[in-house]
Amino acid sequence: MKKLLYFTVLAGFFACSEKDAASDSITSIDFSYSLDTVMIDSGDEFIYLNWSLISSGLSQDGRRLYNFDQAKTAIQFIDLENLVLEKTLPLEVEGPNGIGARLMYGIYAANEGNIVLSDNYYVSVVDEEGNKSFGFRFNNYDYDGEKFPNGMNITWGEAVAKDGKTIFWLYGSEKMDRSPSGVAIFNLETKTVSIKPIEIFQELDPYRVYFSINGQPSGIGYADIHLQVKNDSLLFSNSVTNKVYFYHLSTDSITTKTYESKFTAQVAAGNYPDRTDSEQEYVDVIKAMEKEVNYGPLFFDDQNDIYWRFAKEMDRMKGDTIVFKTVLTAFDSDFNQLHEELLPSDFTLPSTYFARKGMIYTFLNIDDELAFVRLKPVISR
Amino acid sequence: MKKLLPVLFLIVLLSCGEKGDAEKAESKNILEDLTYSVDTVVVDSGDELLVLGSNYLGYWSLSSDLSKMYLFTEKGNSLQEIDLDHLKVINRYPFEVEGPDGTGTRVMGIHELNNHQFVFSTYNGTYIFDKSGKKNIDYRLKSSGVEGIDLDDDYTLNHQAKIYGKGENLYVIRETPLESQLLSVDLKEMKADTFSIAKLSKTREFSTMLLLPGNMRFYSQSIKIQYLRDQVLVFSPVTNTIYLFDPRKRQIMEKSFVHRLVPLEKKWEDYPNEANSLEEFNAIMTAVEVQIDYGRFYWDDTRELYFRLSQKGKGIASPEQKRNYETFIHAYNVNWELVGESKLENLEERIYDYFLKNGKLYSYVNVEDELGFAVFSFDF
Repeated sequence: MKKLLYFTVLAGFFACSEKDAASDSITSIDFSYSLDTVMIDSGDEFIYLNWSLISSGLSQDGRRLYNFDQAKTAIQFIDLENLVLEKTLPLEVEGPNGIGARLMYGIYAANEGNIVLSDNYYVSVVDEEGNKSFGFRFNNYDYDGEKFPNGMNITWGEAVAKDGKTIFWLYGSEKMDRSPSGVAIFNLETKTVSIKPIEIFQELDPYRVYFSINGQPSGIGYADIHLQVKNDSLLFSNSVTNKVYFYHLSTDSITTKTYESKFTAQVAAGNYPDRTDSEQEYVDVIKAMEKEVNYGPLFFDDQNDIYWRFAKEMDRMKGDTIVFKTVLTAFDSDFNQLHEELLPSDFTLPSTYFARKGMIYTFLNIDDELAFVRLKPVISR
Repeated sequence: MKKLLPVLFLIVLLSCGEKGDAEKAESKNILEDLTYSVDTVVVDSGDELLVLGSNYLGYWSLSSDLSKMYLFTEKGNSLQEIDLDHLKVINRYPFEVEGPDGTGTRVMGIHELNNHQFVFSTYNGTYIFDKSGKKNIDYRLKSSGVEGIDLDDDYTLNHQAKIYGKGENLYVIRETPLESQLLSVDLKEMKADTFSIAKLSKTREFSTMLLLPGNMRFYSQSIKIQYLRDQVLVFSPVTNTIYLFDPRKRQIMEKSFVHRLVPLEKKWEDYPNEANSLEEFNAIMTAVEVQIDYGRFYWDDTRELYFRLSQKGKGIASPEQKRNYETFIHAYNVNWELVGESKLENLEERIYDYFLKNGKLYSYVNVEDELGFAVFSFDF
């Protein structure tokens, strides 16, 4: 993650209009794009980049990126209009204003300038001055509602509703040796919890590898579940299939959309052992997984009214390194696939990206300075 | 899927050091002229199918007279009983996973009590089962239900929770912001005593994890509890210092040893508890693995000595390479004084599952998916 991934073309221009419009299922669009790179001026400070902006979130108005500094336990406000580090807001760990832990995995913008912080255990809501208005500790809640089935607990994967008042957590076996069993919905306002078993995650079991040394859990290889909230639905997709699931909260029902790609495999092969106590075998499995198709999360571009999604898959090996092909797919707001674009071979997909003002910002670390490679699509329908 | 651990413990005879006649003036190292030979034995599994991990045995323990081994297997959620005198599998006791007689899915240790019932230490609680699979007692103790302790987080007391012997006490490790502690809960009175084990507190520093999309890694060291000759021993792989708890006197004693052959402890150089890359995670893991790692204690009734092994990894050129280890053996007299230590020459494997019986060291080897032991006979 930390390793510098140089994007060789700092400012380039690529354009292609869609030649084979018929291959895109329902609608067709003309698509072209340009790329540029912008640097963020951090003044005398360092923007925390060790986690490759994994713990960052865009403000609701899109003007700022909140980046959590794990080393200092602070929120860095990055002004994306003026491309500067605007301020650093130190937070307390203990005490009445404390956020409960030094490291935070999730940072989410909520209404009224509130920021929700989560380490998958402690959740707190702070305003832009760092005043805490809410705190929740997972082991110590006395919410009404359903209990987790025996041997189950929250696991990796969460989403926060826009109003910051509902948190969705994946839950499953405490041992994490199987795919999640469903989603737990914590309403922080009414202090209620409901547990919704969801069977579709079972299709991810073949991608799960549990590695233990002498009984001690030492590694878990798994298919990523992308979870997001959209109005009264939860959107699920995963890294190994070309599908999106919609979990409708009001009706407790699930619908699916399946897509086709002309550039990548429909589904990762996932022919792995389900457990191992050999480090070598585990490392080999992880390597094999890395080569397979990996579908990223959908993210919304409100200016173009489009959901974007990146996917990557091994193109070839160059010595010991995997050379990936990267594909950008556009979906309309009803989740119909509009277009697939194979990006140039020197485009390296980072772990963090988002859409803002009609552009896709992809994280780039240039000599420990924060930069974004911006992909600016031009679309005509 | 599994590669057989190369059984390099073939019948070898090694001698280390010259057998000199010179008198050792001061503190004598009784293991100075240690030699050993190794033999491999295989357990007859009979009609029973032994389920083995390839590299580790998992959760197992011995009967107090060392005649039986109980080996827990997740597949079938059962205990396999092995007669160590005749090297035969003699019984299999299945247990329910769910329900009132359930073990739960996270068994983390099993022990036999004096009354031949089994203690299951699990993530959710500590249970006492009889051999028919019936759960007789279900201890899910919370600090609010035990006199003498008051924890901020009202967790179930289950961190390394153990019950031994006559089943009178439950021992558990508690971590406070200041130090690590041993709690001894009197199960009849539901009263707890707290004992400082401060010298082991640094164990919790030894922990790092890596969270990448699709790949999570964990690495940590932990304080351990064992029961030996009516004493409760608390130790940690990161230091030579141990605590001896006498349940009758309710006294704890700290013991440190002046090892000359090996470093006295591991050092954690302020590595991050959250690695930023796989390279960093591997580097941290390696940095800890190449340091000394102290193991459990064993009583040798033929020589009236306690023994413990320590192991230390060697550097490797690339992460793909298999790591070799150096193994050391340390001897202590009945008063817990270090009386000897030696390196086990020519042993390069890391050994995980071993015990001492009849003065010999038995170390698990997987012999074509049969349960085997490399048996070390010592001469000194």
